[in-house]
Amino acid sequence: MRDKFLQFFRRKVQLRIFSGLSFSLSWFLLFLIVPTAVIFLYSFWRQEYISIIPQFTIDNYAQFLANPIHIPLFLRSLVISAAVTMGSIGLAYPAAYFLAFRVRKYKIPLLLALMGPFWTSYLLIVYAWKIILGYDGILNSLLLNLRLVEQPADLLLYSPFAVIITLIHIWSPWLVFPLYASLEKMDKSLLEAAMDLGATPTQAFLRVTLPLTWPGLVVAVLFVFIPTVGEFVTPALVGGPQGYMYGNLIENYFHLGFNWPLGSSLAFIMLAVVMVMTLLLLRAVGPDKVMESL
Amino acid sequence: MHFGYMVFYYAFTFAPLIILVIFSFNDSARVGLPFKAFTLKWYAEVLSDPTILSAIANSLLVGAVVTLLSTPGGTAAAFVLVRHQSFVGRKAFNTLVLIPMVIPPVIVGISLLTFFHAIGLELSLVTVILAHTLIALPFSLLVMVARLIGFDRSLEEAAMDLGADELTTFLKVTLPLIFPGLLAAAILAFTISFGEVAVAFFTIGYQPTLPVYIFGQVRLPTRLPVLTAVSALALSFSALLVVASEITRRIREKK
Amino acid sequence: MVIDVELRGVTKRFADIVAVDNVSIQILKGEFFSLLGPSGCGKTTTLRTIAGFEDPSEGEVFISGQSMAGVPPFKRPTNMVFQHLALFPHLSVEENVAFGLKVKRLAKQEIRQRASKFLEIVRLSGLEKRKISQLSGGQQQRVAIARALVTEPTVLLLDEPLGPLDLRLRLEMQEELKRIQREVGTTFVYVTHDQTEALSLSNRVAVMISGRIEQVGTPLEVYEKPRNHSVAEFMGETNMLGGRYLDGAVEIDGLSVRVTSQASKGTDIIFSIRSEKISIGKTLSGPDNVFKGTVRGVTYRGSDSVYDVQLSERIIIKVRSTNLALESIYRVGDEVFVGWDIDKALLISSLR
Repeated sequence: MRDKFLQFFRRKVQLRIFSGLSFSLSWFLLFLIVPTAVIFLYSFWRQEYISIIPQFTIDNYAQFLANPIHIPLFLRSLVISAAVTMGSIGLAYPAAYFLAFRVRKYKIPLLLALMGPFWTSYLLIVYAWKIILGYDGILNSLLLNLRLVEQPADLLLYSPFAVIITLIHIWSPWLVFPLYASLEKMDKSLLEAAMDLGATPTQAFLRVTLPLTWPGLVVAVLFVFIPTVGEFVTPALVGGPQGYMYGNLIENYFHLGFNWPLGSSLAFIMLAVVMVMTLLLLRAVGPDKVMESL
Repeated sequence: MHFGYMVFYYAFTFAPLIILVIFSFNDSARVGLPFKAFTLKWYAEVLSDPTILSAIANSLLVGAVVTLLSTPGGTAAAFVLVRHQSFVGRKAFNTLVLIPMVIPPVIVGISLLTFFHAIGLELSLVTVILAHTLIALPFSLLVMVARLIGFDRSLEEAAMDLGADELTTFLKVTLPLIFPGLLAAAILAFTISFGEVAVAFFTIGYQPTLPVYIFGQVRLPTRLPVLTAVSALALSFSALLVVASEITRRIREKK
Repeated sequence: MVIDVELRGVTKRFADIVAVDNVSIQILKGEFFSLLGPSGCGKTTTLRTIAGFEDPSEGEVFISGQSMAGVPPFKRPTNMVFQHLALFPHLSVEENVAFGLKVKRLAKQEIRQRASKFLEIVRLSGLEKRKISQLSGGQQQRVAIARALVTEPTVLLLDEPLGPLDLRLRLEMQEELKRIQREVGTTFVYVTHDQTEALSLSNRVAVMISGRIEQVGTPLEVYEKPRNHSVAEFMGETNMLGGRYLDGAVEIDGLSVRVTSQASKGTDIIFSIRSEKISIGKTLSGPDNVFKGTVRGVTYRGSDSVYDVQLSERIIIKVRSTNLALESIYRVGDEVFVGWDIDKALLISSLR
């Protein structure tokens, strides 16, 4: 019985491949592709009170353009995401660089320590920033106690600044790993060779190190910028009206506003934009390379 | 220069978390300065709050089931990706793996909400499990791909050569050798599910997970000290998991 | 004579590469048989075909007269010592050796007895409980050999197992292999690119080049009587000379070299003469062919030296000479005589 079974499997390579992938494949299809198709469909339907009318309409897409809130909010989300991406790369790259090239002692514990925030619930980090930056929060109470301010400062919390700093804090340790990996993989003698050929350290960095760590940077953009565009938890906790993002808008249409078709169309517009960006980036580097540098 | 930067970077990274833990011990109804006195009363309140306890239990349950689903599922796919370098649809599959990792969670959340609604599946912990498995699966898969790339296949050949069939080889050679990797993948899947809030927020029923519960309560100023205590607990739990996964890695390297 | 392993017209293709090209060999019971060839010549693939890790694209493998088509590795009476040994890192020395017995579900008592017997044969008694990582390279080799022999396979396959060892340990392990083979009497099929190793260990050697078996024979045969150009060139250090055959001699670049040949007058022939068969000296008389030349290069190798001696404008030959005394070591620019008897030159081919 067991022999027969194994013998059958041994002969069928295709079957082995298929059965190995079947769980993941069915999960991705059923809970990623099909639901996305469903909201795509919904985005062309309309809602009356609490029932969804399956009638084709492009009204929702027209509303995206017509409503004066939608487009500015989308643009603001893109700007915030860009700031977060640049900020996290800006903070993480030197840390990764120093860990790879300068730090000699305690290198592994230092790297491992960064796993801490990476493994921590992202909500907890947002929460920590909320109690630090809050009106009643730790920073304000510190400033009051030191008599640096008379009134609690309001601009700290409930601002795009608070959203950006919180998200940078969340993403930058995450980025140290791929960046460190691509720097560590780099053959150090290449730098020596560059300097031997007359390059200054800055030139060596710009012409050798940076190009070689390019796949790591692409991963950074892919994994920070794109999820951040749809961010809604962080702005809800620390953003305030000025820090609201496009994701909050979508969330609103699904919960308070209760207009699923409109929410779906807004989501789909964002999805289309990030998909085009992802495909462009993936084409530039190749999915296998991206997977390697993870 | 690098020393100064590293100090700054690690301070920036850890200060908020440390502050959170410190103020969870502050005997004050406000989370802020001055630090009045050391107390454990917020922790006592956590332990006597049935809604928080049930939220923790829900999170543990969801995390455990997600781990049990995504670890074997991801491992099976990782075996195929590492051992069959070319098959029809490999590229497409790789792309499918990457999508859940990069797509904005809000989209996963609303599309699953709409999908579950459309097929008439009531929201509950089950729907959160389905959603979290989708999110954890790519991570388990990639961890196992990384581990399997370094696996010396001649060990399996040696076992078969000595008379072990495929099943025996898997149980006696492959499994013991990839076990630390499996453990690491499992811990990662659990951690991801345990901390996830955005997708759970859309797919949750009446029983919240811990992050969804905290997310809902944060607007109430009177709840902040208790939430700080429970957050500090969750933080320590994550730290414990990091240490656990690191230990399994060490064990593997020793061999 | 009993044939243990037979390959009949075995060909193995990977995509559009032919790794093994129509190989037919017969390996006798109890023989130490080597597959010798440069790296990438298909010898490892041939071995893996016997073990069952590769299915031949064409042809068939027989072991003890039975066709192995469709028989998985774990049902073949062959065991392998892998190139990188493939010892199980999670098991102890004893558990590694007992692995094959355990999966065959033998009684505990018997497993222990046989494992300890074979650990004794490879002289590792006392190290049973050690982890693999606690052993030296040579000890690991011994574990791999014991593990493969303990199930008493018909054939033991060895895939360059001595490759990673340093020279001294290699020589020691070669002796050990010979001793173990004598002791257990199992047929050994040994893959190596090292000709000294193949020649000193084997009863018979198959020379494999670019996927084809070029010659099968005793070490003496393949070295002294290479069947063709490729074998002659691969084995040892040789000089290939070619020219038109005329009346007992060949005209090469103005030199007349005397040869024994059945070639017909006027044909072009190639012959090979090994570097160690050529004598060199300040004066030289005796050999059938003696030429005057100039030393152009010297490679001093301790026990002997190899000289590049220019005989004419286009002919430089390699001569190897034992360093008997300091006076018999020549320097670049020295005028010397070189010479050889006509029976030392081997006719390789006649070009038509």
